[in-house]
Formats: sequence, C-alpha cells, structure tokens
Amino acid sequence: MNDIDPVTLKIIWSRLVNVAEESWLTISRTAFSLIISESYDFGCELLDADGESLAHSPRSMPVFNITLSVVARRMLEVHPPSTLRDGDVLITNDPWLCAGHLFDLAVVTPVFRNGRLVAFSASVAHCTDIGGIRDSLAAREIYDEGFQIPPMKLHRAGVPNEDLLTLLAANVRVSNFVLGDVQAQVTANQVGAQRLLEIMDTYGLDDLVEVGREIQGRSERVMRDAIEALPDGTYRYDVSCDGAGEPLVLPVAVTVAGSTIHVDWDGAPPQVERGGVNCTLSYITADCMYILKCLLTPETPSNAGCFRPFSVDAPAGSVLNCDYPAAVNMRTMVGWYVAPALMGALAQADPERVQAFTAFPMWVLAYGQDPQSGTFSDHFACAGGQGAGASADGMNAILFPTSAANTAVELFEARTPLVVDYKELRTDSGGRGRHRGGLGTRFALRVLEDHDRPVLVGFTPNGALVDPPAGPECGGRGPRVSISLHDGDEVVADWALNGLAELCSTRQRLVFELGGGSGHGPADARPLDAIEADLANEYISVDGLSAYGCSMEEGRVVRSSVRISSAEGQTQ
Amino acid sequence: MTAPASRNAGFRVGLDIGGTFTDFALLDERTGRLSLHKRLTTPEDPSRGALGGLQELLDREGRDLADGLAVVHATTLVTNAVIERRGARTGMLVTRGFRDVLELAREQRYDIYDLFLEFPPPLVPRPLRREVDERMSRDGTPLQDLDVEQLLEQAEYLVRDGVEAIAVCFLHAYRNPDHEQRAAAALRDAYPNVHVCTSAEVVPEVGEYERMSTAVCNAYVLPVVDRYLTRLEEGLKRRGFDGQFHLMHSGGGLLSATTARRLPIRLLESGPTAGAIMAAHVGRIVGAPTLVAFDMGGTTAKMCVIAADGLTRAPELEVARLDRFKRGSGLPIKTQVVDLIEIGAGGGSIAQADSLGLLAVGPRSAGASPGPACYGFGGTDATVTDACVALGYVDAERFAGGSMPLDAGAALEAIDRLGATLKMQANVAVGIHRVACERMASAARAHVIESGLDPRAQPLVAFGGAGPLHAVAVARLLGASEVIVPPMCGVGSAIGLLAAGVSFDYARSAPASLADVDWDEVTRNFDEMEHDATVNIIADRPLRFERSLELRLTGQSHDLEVPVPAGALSVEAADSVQAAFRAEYRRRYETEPPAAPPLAMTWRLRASAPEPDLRIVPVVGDVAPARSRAAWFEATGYVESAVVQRAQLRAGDTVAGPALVEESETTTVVGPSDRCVVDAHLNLRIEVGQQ
Repeated sequence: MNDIDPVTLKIIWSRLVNVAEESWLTISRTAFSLIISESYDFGCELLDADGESLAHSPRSMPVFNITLSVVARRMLEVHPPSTLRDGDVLITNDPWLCAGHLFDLAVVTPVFRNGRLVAFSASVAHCTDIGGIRDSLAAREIYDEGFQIPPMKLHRAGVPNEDLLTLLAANVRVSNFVLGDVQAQVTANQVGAQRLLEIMDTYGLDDLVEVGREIQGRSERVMRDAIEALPDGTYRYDVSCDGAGEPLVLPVAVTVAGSTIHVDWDGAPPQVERGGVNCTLSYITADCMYILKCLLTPETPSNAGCFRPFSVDAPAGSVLNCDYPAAVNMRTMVGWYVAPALMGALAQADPERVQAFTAFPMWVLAYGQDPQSGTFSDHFACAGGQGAGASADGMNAILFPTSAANTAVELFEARTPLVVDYKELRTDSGGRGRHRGGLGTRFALRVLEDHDRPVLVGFTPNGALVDPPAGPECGGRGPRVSISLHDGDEVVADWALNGLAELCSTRQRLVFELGGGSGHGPADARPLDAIEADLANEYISVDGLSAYGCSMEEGRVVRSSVRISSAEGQTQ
Repeated sequence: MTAPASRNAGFRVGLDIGGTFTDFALLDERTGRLSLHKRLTTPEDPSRGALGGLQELLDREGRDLADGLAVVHATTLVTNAVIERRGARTGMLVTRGFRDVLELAREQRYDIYDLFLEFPPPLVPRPLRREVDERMSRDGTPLQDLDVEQLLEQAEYLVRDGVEAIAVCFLHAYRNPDHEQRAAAALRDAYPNVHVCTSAEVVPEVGEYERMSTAVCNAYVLPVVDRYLTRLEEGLKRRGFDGQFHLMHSGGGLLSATTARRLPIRLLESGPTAGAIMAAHVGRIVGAPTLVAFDMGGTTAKMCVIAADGLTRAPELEVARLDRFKRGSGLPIKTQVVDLIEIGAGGGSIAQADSLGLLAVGPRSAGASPGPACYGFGGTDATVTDACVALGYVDAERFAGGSMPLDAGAALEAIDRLGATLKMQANVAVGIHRVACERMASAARAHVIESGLDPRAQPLVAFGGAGPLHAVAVARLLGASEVIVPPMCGVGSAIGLLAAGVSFDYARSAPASLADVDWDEVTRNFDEMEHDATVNIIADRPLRFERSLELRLTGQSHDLEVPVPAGALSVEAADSVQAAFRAEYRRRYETEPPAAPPLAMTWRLRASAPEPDLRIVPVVGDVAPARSRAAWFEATGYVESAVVQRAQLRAGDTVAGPALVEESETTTVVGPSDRCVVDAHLNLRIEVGQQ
C-alpha cells in the first residue's frame, strides 16, 4: 500500500490504539494481583519490527510505555529475527532495560505475517512479589531484591518454558498469583497480535513500515514544532530529595537546541550503597521523556516519534545511572524528582507551560492477623496536592506521577482491623502564589479494638527530610510530609524514612500528613476574592492569611502593609 | 363517547421528552394500531410541551384521555439538571472526619499526559458539607452514637444558607442504616419543607465515594423532579386521566411516580434506555438471541449489547463527563443501569482538522443552533449531516418529510473549505463519513468484546434520526452480516416505553466470607426486599424475583454475579453459589479460580412484573412514483441508487442495493452489495455484503 491518505491513516491509527486498549482490558480482567487489577500498575503496547513504539493503551502506567521499546530492541539483539519463531514469547525484568526494579515484568510477543516478523505485542506489569528481602532499606545489591530474569524465551514456538516457570515459582511469594499474572500478560499480547493481523488483512498491509513511518513521523513533527517554539538555551535547576536518609541534590541541565532537547544530569551524586534508591538510566530516561511529552504535546497520540527529539544522559555510577549490581527497589524516592527538576528548568524557557511541584502519593501497607478473617496485607493509597499552573490553582489530592487511584476507606476497613479516624484535605498545605498549590491529604489510623498481636503498618514518606521545591515566579511551597504516632495526646514517635509502626491499643493514633503542591507566581498577586474563597472553603486558615500578606479586619480579608519578603519559608 | 365503548378503546401512551423533540406513541390495545406524534420540547417547563403535544395527538386521533389505561414516560430532566447544574442548592451531613470524600473522589488522573486536566466540581461546595459525631464499624456496630442535637445545629446552618435538599451520608451506612435513618427522621420532623435522602436508601452498597456521589446527585434533583412530576400528574388528571402513570428507570424497567419522587436519580438516561428496550423487543420478535442496539441522534451515538438473557446491565454510570470518551472525567452514579455506552458523534457533530493535520469528527457539535451548514441557520462548519447530504444519502428537499428543506450548496461549501484546510484532493465528505463510522465501529467493537460476544456475529438494530443512515457502513466495519431497521425507528424510544414492564432493583452489601454467611439473615433480607416490591409494584400478574450475589475471591477486587436460589436459604446455598461462581470464573477467564476463600459482597434482588404484550400493526401507505438519485459507496463511488418510500413496503418485498429507503424521520442507506428484505413485522432486514 503506497501513499496512505489522511483518512485511512487516521482509521488505522485509531485501530492500533484500540488494539492496545483491548490488550489492556484483557489483563485487567484476567490478572490475579490487586496491584494490577485494582491499582492498574501495568501497560500494553504495539511496537514495529524494529522495536519502536506504534501505540499504547491510553491507561498505561507512565514510564512502562517508554521502556518497552528499550526492552524490545535489546530482545532483538539477544534473539535476532532469524532465531524467532511464531509462537515465541519473550520475558525479562532486568531493571537496566525495563522499568527500574525487578517487580516490573516485561512480556514481549513477536508478531509474524507470512513468516516474516512485522511487529511486537508487549506488556509490562508490576507483579505482586518477586522474592527478595522485605525491608528494602537493608538491600545493598540487586541479589537481595529478588529473582532476576534476563531476556529469555518464556514460550518456544507455542510451548511454555517449564524450566523457567518452575524456577520463578520457587523464588517468589504467592507464586500462583505471580504465574497467573504472567499468563494474563501472555494472553493479552496474543489478543493484541491477533487483532493487529486482522487490521493488516483489512488494509492489505504486508508490513507496518509505512504506517509506522507515517504515524511516528507525524507525532515527531508535532513534537519538534513544540520544541522549536521554545527559546534555545541551557536551563539548569537543582532539586533536593530525601535519598536513603542522606539528602541528595540532583542537578539537571536541559538544553533546547533547534528541534531537540538534551537532558543532562552531570554532577548527580554517586549511587547509594544501601537502601535501593538507585535509578537505572533506562528508568530515568523514561521518566524524563514522559514529563517532556506531558509538557510539550500532551494531546498527540504517543509513539516512538514523540521521543526521537530527546536524549538523556547521566554519569555512569551515579544515583541516576547506577551500575549493576546496585540495589534499585525504592527508585521512586529519587526518580519521581525528575518531574520537578525538569519543570523547574523549563520554567525558565516557558513559564506558562510548566506546573509547580506536585507532592508525591503514598501507599501505606497494613499487615497482621485479623480476628475476623486471618492474615491480611492491604494497601491504603492516598495523594499529595498538585502544583499550580500559570493560569490555574493546583488540584487537591491527585496521584502523580503515577496513574493509580486511592483506596476506599470502607473497603480498607472491611479488610483490616483498622479504623480510619479521618481523611481530609490538609488545611494550609497548598503552596502560596498567584495560583495556589493544591492541598494534600491527611488521615489517621487506629486499631478497631485492643490487640495482643500488633498490626504492622509500613509506609514510605517521600519529602519528609527536605523541603519541596518552591514554585515558579516566586510561588511558595507546601509543608513537608509528616508521619507521627500519638498515644493519647502525646506524640511518641515520628518517621522521616521508610518505617514500620506497631499498633496495639485504641489509644494510639498513627497520623499521616502529605504534602501540598507548590504555588505559581507571587502571593501578593493573588486576588482578594480568591483568598476569601479559600478561607470560606477552609483551604487556608485565618493564620494562613499571613502567607498572602493579608489579615482579617472587621470580618473582611484585607492586605496588610507588610510585604512578603521572598518565596521561601511558608509557615509550616 | 359512551362508557362501554371507551373501555373497548383503551390505549396506552409512550411519552419521551428528549433534548430537542418530545415524541409520542399512542397504542390502541384492541387493534394494535400505533399513532405517532412529535413536537419541540419546551425546556423551561417540559410538562407544558408534553401535555400540549399529547392533547394535539388525542385531538388528531379523536381520543379522550379518560380512556387512557397507562401513560409511560421517559425524560431527560434528571440528566440535564446534573449536566447543566440546574438542580437545587444541596447540603450534606457526613460522619466527622469525612466531609472531603465528595471532593477527593478517586484522586486519579484520567489522562496520563494532561497535566492540567479538570474534574467536575462537587455538587455540594465544602462549606455546605457539615460533619456530625457518629460512627459505625465495618460490621455495622456503632462505635459512636449519633449526636442528634449536633445534627440539628448543622442542619440549621444549612437551612439558613438556603439549602433545599440534604443528603445524609454516613460511613458504613450500607451495613447499618440506623444512624442515617434516625438523622433523616429528625430532619424531616424539624424541616418538613426540606427534601432529605440518605446514602443507604439510594445505594446500600460498600464504597463511600460512589455511594455519596450518587446520594448527593439524588438530593440535588429531588426538588426539581418533585415539582415537575406534580405539574405533569395534575395536568394529566385535569384532562380526565385516571390510569397508571409510570416512568422508565435507567435499569430498563418502570417505576411509579411515588418511587421516582424518592429516588429521582434512577431516571437518568431513561429515554435512551427505552430505545434499548425497543431494540430488545425487536430482537425477541425476530428471534435474534443477541444483538447490538445502535441509536444515533443529533449529538451522540449510543449502543447497547442485548444478550441472550436480555439487556446487559452495569452497576454504575458516569454523568456530566468533561471528556465524553474518558472514564473518570465525570460524576459516578452507582445504580443498576442498562449498559448504554456513548460510541461517537451524532449528525450535528463538526468535522475539522486536528493538531496533526488529520481529519477529526466531533466532539464539538453544532447542535440545533446554528446547526449543520445545510440547515441554513448560519452554521459554517461541516458536520456529519452535511456529509450525508453531499454523499446523496439525505435528500435535501425532502428532509423531515419535506417540512424542513436543506441547503445542499451550503453543505458542499463547508466541506470544500475543510478540504482546503486539510489539503485533500479526495472527496472530504467521504472522509467525514468514514471517520465517523470508524470511530463508532471501533468503540462498539471494544464494548461488544468486553461483553463477551463476537462483534461479527451480532445483528445491528438501528434507530434514531441518524442511525439508519450509518448502520450498514458501521456493520460492514464490524464484520456484522445483518442490519435490522424496525418500523417507525425515528421514535424508537417512545415505542420502547410501551414494551417495558414494571421492575425495581434492590441491593444490600454485606461483605462476609461465604463460609461465614448467616443464611437466616440473608433469607430475612430477601424476604424484606420481596415484601417491599410486592407493596410498591402494582401488577395484575405475579411478580418475578431474580436473586443474585456478587462475590469475589478474598483479595480480589472484581466481583462476579451469580444466581441465588429462591425460598428459605440454608448453608447448602453456599455450595450452589460456589459452584456457580467457579463456572462463571472458568467461562470468563478460561482458567480455574485459585484456592482463596470466596467473599460474599452484595446481595441483589430484581423484582419485575411481566412485560405487556406489544402488538403493533403498522400502517401501509400509498404508491408513489419510482425515483432515483446518485449516492456514494465505498465499492462504486457515486452510483445511481433507487429511492424507495418505506411506507409502501410490504412484508416479503425485497430491495436490492444500492438503494435509499426513505421515511419522514430518517433514511436507510443500502449499499450496492447489500440486499434488503421486509419481514412479516415490516422490519427492514438488510443482508450486509462484504465488499
């Protein structure tokens, strides 16, 4: 088929996205683990014969859709097309290829037409367990973190590799769930391959070379246009994160040159010996590309073309490009800071486009014995506040940079002997600014009744040791994350790192306060009626008025004469 | 008219108030003769147009409303009140610590690349969400008693603020509604003029956000629906009507005005639901075990899978989406609904160049004003309807039975302008038609597959003003081999109203391990629900009860629904439920369920009265001269096509494509490789040829 007209191209393109979505639905319905079926921690994608992305499911977990291409290209090196057979299925969880830690399993199915390799139908999903140590902070090497699968054949010409499956089953907890999830991926890939071949039949396509060139070319062109609209230059920004207890500074230099962007992390700190906060270059590259795509062409369908104008580099042996066999399980403690770093840098190029710092979500894991239902192990997910934009306040409580959802209080309580005392917006947690940052959430957990055996509650604060980055154009910042244990009225413990609390008595309250988003623009430019509305909504307290240089006089909000000196140091 | 004669001449009326038109269908129960009427909706007071139009139809037919046996009604009132934010000022009373549930929602982004995506603001602003001391545990044990005094203080605050309706929403009320019920009683006592509803009476199911969202929407439309129904019922009564008055609910059955006043949220999407019922009725009379209902109107196209056991239902829908195709961009409503999904654009949807330089159709719509370019009301954008004019599918001079001639020149100009923007040499009208059809086919394909059926094996039942224009093309894309266009398909929903039976869906959530279920309590619950149904549903024949249980394996988050035996239940029921669960699991996932213990989640009862026998005798019209005009088809390009008047077709007639079968509300497009046969019920049965 030569010279595809715009209408046919549009139709084929929509169908490719549709196929990836059908694979996505197949996984969500056939998977066994909660993290896949409820939190949607997975994604599906179609790639061309070179391993370049054609289309992914709209609800793919960010990052997975980008690293799959790295996986597929590496698969082609290990297993060249001449060695692949129809019915082969490939698998790996190598963090240096895939999504940065062993939990993310990539399953890649080559698609053949008339005996020729024409595409890959692929998926990545976060399995519920991969073996290894429970206490991620204690891990020093990847060997501590679980079962490693280098690029291998999971099926050979339709026949499952029983040796690999037996080994996998022997090395993970709840192996029936893990193997079931892998099977769900194989099934979904197969569905995607079948539908892709049907499209090729309908349109008489022998291969996807021209379709790929067209759609990747169009997405690339739109991306290059968007980059060209940015002023050339190198934009630098430093962002601080908690690391594994010793705060780390991540310096980024974003160079816009014509229609390309290069992201350089020169000066990143060396990889951390213990705690698993190291990131692989594959993971960091995907993090960077994901944020750049959000910033530049959010409305364009995603494929390899979107990412061609980008390059990413970080020093070998650094926390952003760690060497094998570094421990990597808690990579989001560092990797999630790519978002504020790139936005901080690009704010200098186009302040209208970026969003101030969005505070990170948290998953709290409750584990123990329920007198009603036996052993339980369940997550309670909740969000921080979104950063403000140049023309809008940040949203309250939104999970970013993941695409997961929160956990219903009633469902969590039904599965655990815990009571959520309250869950609400954290007043005054939005960073001040012309546009205010969104509020984070706060909540408290306690046991339903006194227990002899404690309920263990594990958590991962991200942003408890260092202040969040302030917003662009003198925007303020929200407070740090805080986790504390109260016994009656007394605070008996608090945590700034991964922790595990033991709850036995109904007198104990474990209190979580998540961060809010940073503001955008100077606080004294925020209109008084917006401040009054925030006060009426109790998004800010009367005490919080001072952050805006305001006070109450005779029941009305007025600007006081005191100038706000700087963007720093919002009341906490 | 004498009394005995009027008894013989009993009739029923279907009355469907849509966004643009109100449709009427009057069915003579004795002769099976159906009379139709259509008039413009009166949005400021829809009861006015409804009553006025009904009178016009009665006058035309020489009938008296005193002979009416039943009026069955569908309305967009509830849907529009929520979408357009025209409901009552509403307050909430919630468990202390949880006033933000409505605002936090699921904390999830529905588009992974859009940093600035928006969500619909909650229907109740934060200052009107007031907290009260009270708390239930997960098993319904009070952890803290309700503080009634505090409740009334908070209510006083709301009433002073001008609140007309209050939703009482307490945690775990689905498990034990006592606090909510006591709160509602105290509120009704203190403020008899304020409308009150509780979360557990609207949705007795686990999951606080979805339950509260639904209860709040219900409260929000309570006063509006109450006023509207009062006007409509009084108007009917004034005209001498003393028959049954029922409304279509979103679950595909009918309910009484009394129930509709208490639970108005169940009237959501009642019109499109009636259309799906019409399609199911067609499926029954032609003997199609499964089919796809395809309804395309002015602004949207919807579809519904009709499965072997009837309409497919879903436990939830989303209203007021900010992006119609993005899940999570609207307000969730938890209620049993016929699973209608929006699959694409309508006739008024605008075609334009998108940011990639490609042709996009919708989501922007020209609506009725300015309307498609061909309407000549000043619209300059090319729409799906303009493409239909350019392709020869719609006869510009005979649009709407000739009552509203179209400007074909304006349609072509609009399309040419778009072609210049796209730098396309080819026929852009063809492109608009293809893209619109492809979008519908691809959304429909995904949904049919999700329902567990093969899209290629389903007949497509087409209705709505734009449905028959596109049905054959959509069917071809789906690989489906048959399209059925029922008679009078332009007012399908009004006819569907006459085919529905009274029904009501009950639910009680009580999460418990299947091994630990208290079957005496379950039996009591079902008895209560069945008793309630018997009291509330007036029927001349016994009600049918269908019991079911939604359950999952402990640790999972997706339920499967299985039947529960009738009568008194004992522990043996657990075995039958478990066996049904295993069978359903295998059927759906093609694998054995793992060994985890089953968890019972929600017990459901569907109570229904038998559907009325719908016997329609269509009217056959006079012979008109044979005509033809050029129409475009994929296989042939423009080709001279026969123009056939639908009213002249008789059972057994065949029409070979290419042909255009015209009736006053729509035209059925039959391609060159297709063949149309008229069946005994005067349905057009089109065999779709694959080109």
